[in-house]
Amino acid sequence: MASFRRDEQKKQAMLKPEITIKEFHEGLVKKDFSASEAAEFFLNEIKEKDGEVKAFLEVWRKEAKEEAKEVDLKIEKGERVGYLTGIPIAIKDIILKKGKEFTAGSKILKGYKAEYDSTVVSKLKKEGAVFLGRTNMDEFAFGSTTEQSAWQVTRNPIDLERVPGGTSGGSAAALAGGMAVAALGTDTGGSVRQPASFCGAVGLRPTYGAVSRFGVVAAASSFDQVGPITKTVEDAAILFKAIVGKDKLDSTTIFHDFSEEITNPDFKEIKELTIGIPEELFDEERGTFKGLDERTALEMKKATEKLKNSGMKFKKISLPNSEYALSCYYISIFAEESSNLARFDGLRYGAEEIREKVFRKETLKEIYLNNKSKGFGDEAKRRIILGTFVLSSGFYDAYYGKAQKVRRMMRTDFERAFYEVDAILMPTAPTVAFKIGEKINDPLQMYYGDIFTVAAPLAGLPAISIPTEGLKAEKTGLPVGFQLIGKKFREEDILGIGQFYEKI
Amino acid sequence: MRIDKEEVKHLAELSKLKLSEEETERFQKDAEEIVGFFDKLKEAPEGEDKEILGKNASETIKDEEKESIGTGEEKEQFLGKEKGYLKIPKVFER
Repeated sequence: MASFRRDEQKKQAMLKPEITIKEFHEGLVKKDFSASEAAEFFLNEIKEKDGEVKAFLEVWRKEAKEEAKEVDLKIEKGERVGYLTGIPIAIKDIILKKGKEFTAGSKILKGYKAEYDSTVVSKLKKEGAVFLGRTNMDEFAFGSTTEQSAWQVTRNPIDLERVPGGTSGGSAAALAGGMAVAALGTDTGGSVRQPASFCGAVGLRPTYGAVSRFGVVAAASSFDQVGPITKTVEDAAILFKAIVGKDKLDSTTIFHDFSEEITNPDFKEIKELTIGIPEELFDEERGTFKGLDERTALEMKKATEKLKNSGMKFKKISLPNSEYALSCYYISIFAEESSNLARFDGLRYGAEEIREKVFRKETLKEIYLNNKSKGFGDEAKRRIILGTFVLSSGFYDAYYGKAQKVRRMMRTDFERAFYEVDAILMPTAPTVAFKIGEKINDPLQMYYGDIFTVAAPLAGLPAISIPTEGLKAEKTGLPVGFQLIGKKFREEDILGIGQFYEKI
Repeated sequence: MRIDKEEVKHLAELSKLKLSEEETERFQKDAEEIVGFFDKLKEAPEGEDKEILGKNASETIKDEEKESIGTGEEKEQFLGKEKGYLKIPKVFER
């Protein structure tokens, strides 16, 4: 009896909401708990907390328990226990898992059931991950707060009055609220990194072409990437390694042999790397980046100092076209998004809620008008209209054409900068998480919040948001994330510096 | 750049969207502000690099016959089969 109680206590000590992938793996290997017990634990956490947070759109209780049971059977048989075996994971409502409903946060897809697994999900299935459910997001990944979901407003688990960021706000909130061990989001212009920053999590946007988007609903195709949202940088590296790879079903993917050191960096080598600070974004007088709120400015300063004091070298670099980044980004994505949304007409892919009204319409055009107008939310409509505008024949050269030229120059700027440095440091967001409703009626104000996150996707580069120490050390205040941008396919540099930062 | 309500209506028409009067007004205001912010790009230098819009696109995508990605299982979601055809939900009323 006594030993039984000891076991129970041990289990409880091990299975905690803030458990990392690494700790989970160790616990599972040592048989401190089973995958089924872990799944039960996190499903219970969701039941208790998600009524308030509203991170999940659907929880897959039955399937998650079955998946966990299968993992336990395999472990019993002595099969390999990988890092992700049994890991309870949450995925964004845009990353398909076969047989389940997915809506990309939009009414127009209500009732659509995925007919196949996305490549990232099938990779994680092979590793034995346990899928807890799909998480809330801004409709079609348009937004920065997860307030623009057609279904519900997700709250920041650190402060329920505030937004979790977006568009992968559900995934970040599920993770930060201790309702999952890891999560997947997608990042077009910051949708993994910014919610990670707002919720105190780590968010990695991989190099364009590193991770397959097959089975992921497209937002802006020359920008979209799937990325991990995790509790530590080490976890991000583990999850990243599991989802990368060339995929014949996504022709933008490239084979790249990432080194083993990505999850186990040699810190001596990492310390030799040089970090760049873009002078255009830096306010010399205040000694911090431009346009930041007080807390972000202070936390950025402390994070930079910490890296400097541990011996990392810093260097000023120039990104001369930084001031055009936001305009260039928004013109480009509106064009791509309006093209991608053209396929949603309410006749295919779900649209349960609006379809019955279809019957009474007379012409095909009227059906389209009805379905699209009822199926899309405000921000989607705004982007469709503006995307159509920048692509229209009279304005194409002035807007879309010019944006492509500027995008090209920005790529060259980064290439030049990376001759001198190995990674570039800047904030993830200019502010901490703001109040729900604060910016919802001012789209332009919302876009300005992406000032630091759009550069990496414009240039196709990997970038990571890492929480500064403030919240952890002081146990109060809101989280802040700092961002590291790396060279193409050099995730190991930014993940290495990140893991170094966590150790010092 | 000035974008009036007629322009917004025209763009909506092109995009197969039907906007209410209230939406038209709101989107007109938003569009004008946002396009004003896009105009920032006009100040950007042209750059010497003329190679844009993926010069090599035709080289990377070869027109080859590939294995179908369909597994046959996608048919399970159809309403049924009849005479070798797949049934879909009724869209038009007679």
